[in-house]
Amino acid sequence: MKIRCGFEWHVQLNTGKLFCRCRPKMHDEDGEIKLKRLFKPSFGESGRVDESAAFEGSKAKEILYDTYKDSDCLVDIDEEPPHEVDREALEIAFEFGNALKATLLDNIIFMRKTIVDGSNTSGFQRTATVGIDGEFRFKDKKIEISSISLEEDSARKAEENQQLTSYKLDRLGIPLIEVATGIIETDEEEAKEIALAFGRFTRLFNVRRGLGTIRQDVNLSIEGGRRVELKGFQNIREMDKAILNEAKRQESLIRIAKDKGYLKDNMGAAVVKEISSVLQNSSSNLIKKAISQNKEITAIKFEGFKGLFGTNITEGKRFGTEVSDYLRIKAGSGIIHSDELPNYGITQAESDRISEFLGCGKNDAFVFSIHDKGQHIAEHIIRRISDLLTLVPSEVRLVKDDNSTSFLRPLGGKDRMYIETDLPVIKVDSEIVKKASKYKGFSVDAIKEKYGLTDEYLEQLINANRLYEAIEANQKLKLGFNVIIGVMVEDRNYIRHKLGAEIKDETVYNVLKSIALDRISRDASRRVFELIALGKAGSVEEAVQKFGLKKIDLKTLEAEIRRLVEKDKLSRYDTLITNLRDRLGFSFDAKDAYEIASRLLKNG
Amino acid sequence: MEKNSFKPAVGKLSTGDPIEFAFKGKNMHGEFVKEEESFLLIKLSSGYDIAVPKNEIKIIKAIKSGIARKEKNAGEEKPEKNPDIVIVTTGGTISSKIDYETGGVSPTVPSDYYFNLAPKMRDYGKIAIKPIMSVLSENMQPSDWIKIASAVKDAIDGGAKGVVVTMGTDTMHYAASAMSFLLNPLSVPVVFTGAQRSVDRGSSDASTNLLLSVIAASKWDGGESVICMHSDLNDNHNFILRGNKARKMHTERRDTFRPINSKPLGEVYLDGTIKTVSDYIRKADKTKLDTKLDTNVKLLISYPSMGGDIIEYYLSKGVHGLVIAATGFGNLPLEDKTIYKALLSANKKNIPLVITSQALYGSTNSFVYSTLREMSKFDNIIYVGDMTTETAFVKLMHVLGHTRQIDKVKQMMQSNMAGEISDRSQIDTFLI
Repeated sequence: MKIRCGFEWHVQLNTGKLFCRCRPKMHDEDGEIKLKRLFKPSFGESGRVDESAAFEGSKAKEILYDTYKDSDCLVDIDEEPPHEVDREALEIAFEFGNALKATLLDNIIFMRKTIVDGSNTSGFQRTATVGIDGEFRFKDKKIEISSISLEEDSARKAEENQQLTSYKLDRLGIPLIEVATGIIETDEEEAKEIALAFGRFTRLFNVRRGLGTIRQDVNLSIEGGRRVELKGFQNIREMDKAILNEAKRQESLIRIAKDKGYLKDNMGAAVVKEISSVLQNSSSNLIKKAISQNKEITAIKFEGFKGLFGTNITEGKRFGTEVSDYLRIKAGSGIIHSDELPNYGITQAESDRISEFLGCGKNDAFVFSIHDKGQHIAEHIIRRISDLLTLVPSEVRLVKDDNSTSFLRPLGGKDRMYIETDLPVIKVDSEIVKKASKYKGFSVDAIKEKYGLTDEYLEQLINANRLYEAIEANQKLKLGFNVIIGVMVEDRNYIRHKLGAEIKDETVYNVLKSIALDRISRDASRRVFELIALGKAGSVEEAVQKFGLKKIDLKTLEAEIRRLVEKDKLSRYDTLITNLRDRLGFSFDAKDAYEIASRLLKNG
Repeated sequence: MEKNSFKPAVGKLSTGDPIEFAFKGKNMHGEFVKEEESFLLIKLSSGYDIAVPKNEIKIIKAIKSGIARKEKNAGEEKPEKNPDIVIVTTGGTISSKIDYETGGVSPTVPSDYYFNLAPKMRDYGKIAIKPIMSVLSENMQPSDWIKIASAVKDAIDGGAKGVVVTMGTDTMHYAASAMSFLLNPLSVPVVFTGAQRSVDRGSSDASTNLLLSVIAASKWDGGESVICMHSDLNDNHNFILRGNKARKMHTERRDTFRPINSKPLGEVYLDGTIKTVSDYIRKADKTKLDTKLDTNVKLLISYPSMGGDIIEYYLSKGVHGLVIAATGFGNLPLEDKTIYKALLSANKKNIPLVITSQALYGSTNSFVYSTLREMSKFDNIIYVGDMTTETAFVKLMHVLGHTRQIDKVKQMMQSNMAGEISDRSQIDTFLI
């Protein structure tokens, strides 16, 4: 389906926290120190309270924080101003900026972005634009990058209910690169491909790996609709499904607004009544519970609305769901509407009695909601319906596990940002600018082409986080990525699994160098690693000397093979190699032996 | 690019004016925020501000929006008649509002600001806001303490059942301590509070501090000058601390105020309850205001190699009294003859030297060491038990305001006037 979308990618950097010197560490267990805070709307502002901030604030929740001694300090619990910005993070931000061909700003201003859901202990997120006007290439498409920002990650939500939200503070403050694209005319399939390609691109940098280390928001609209921001994609590979669902939802809402928009005129006369008395003797558990808990049941009559609430928007979601989702966030309760009755143990007769009580005609519908006393539920319901009948409401929506979306909060505007007064304008020093300039025009394709890497090798090196090390080793030693990856990644992994030992970078390089100099065979690397890991040799050279690992020349090898073939009449390659290994150990490469043997056997 | 081409245009710009400018070879649009020494701050449509060096920008077009930016919503609450609680405001973080456009901090706020900060405080009676000054507490003068004391007295005379004083936290323990001498006895609680975190933050401690202080002012039956700030890092309850036995002990934390050589008097909770923790002075029938302060008092800290010159200097300047935060039990490096000489001069001039301990906790003692016995020969040297240095400093001003006779000064300094000296050193009063 044709869509217009824009991405906001958030990538965690593999550095210390942005404004303190804590090393991030994720924790499954409960916090060692727990804190309780009350979050208030951003009062004290002169009129310009951001709608989304005010919306969250109006909920006035109690927030609990789980803090950890190893990954949190006073900065994380907002008891100390930020320290200096993490230099490495700033450098990586500049690398991204260069790779994305952006105009880099070398005087950085951190802003406070108001967030009062408690996910930032301060009540805001610190964020600074480091680059503007860049581009990202996807096949032949030039995707405009409107900004590249450096910001601090929020805390992880651990638990949420009506009264309380709790967060773990281990993630708070991890540096994030935020890359925002311009509007892309595309479809859901290509949008997913672009997101995947960007994901691969980020891994050329020193970023964190694993679940949740890249997060993305998608701004989405279709022809005739309005911008909706989607958050919380769990699985990029299913992004197309969520996008398609949302696009279809918008399509339905546009159609409904067009066909049924006139119904808004009837809403001025909406009849609002408390209906507990009508349902006094209901056997519905839902109603019985509501009455026993002394809740109010507010019902509203909507003239001419019959059938609208039951209209399908997307699979399994109806117009009524749109109202319900909104109300649940806004007031903590959903709605039940006449189009879905009888249901929930409420009988047809009871439904009829409500209709009668409200004075509904045959073309009318009603909605009711069970809620705490004193809440102005009707206002919320009427406002939501009116918005839905006007056009697609511009809002932030959460992507659910089934790839459907639901209302989260209103969209935030630019008013939610103001200058961070605890930090000066940061002048990026020339050393960072210079170091990061090497990344100009950097991309997955550029790297592949420049260094002769195949997709498979690139993937392997990126996964092992050894890309640059491997490129450098290959430039110096010219062994080819096959050998380099074999030693640097595979052999090293083998030792890690077998002996639980970590081979040092220096040892790896010395082994590769010895191979390049024909000092040892390629096949000897694991043996050398093993000897060093077991403490039997202190260095590569010592392992070679002490354990006879010096590579023999091809002539000697040929003489040995010739002897085995001619005297011992060996004609199978595998027994031949086994015999050679018994006699010569790892002083030769099996590959060479095969070549010689096949030549001899063919000639023989 | 023309150098300094911004100049003619910028002078006329005001915050929020749309501008078009060239920077790094690109034409861009934004809103002018402000001019700094070497940058212009410009807000992009994304909401982010960027800093553009003046010598790199060329303004192409600047549009005067013509909209005068005036304070919106400058709501003044109608002053309550016969208020139950008066909130005397003096400035500080709790009364500072950020300008969301320029990042500047403005020190004046309309009165409805406080009600927005803690709407629930209305549940505790009729409240009047009484702004008397707008200063950061590091700039507060002893004369300002007198202004505060007078405003409190006016409020009490007007029928207030409790008074809250908001101020910056840096010198709150000086001011709260001063109040215990300037307003003695007290017929209502005088509750000092402030904020450690600015009010633009969702996490600000200002709201809870203000609300809990109003609760304390309305419900606590003590007649003391107290500090009501966070007891720990949670927004749960505040301590009620005796103003002259408390101290700011952390630069930044919201639980910065701790009781010194005492326990909290009470704890006040968000649900309106007050828990008594230790003995306090009950409300008196009447409040007495005594504004005599001799501000010619200085404060010194002793340290290895300090020398006596600084004491001699103050003496030569005609100081009326000195407080020295000495080491340990109240020791001074007497082997240094210059110090010994300075003490002799002070003695000759009848200038009181009040000794407290920079150890912060515990009492001074003039008999444990020979140094101290040596010192106690000087009758102008006055040990003040477990009184904090800041309280001794303020109290000395108060005492010298009434007498300069050394024996009387000594007698007053060493007697307990407002709970500032404890006669029992309780086991569990260390590091609360």
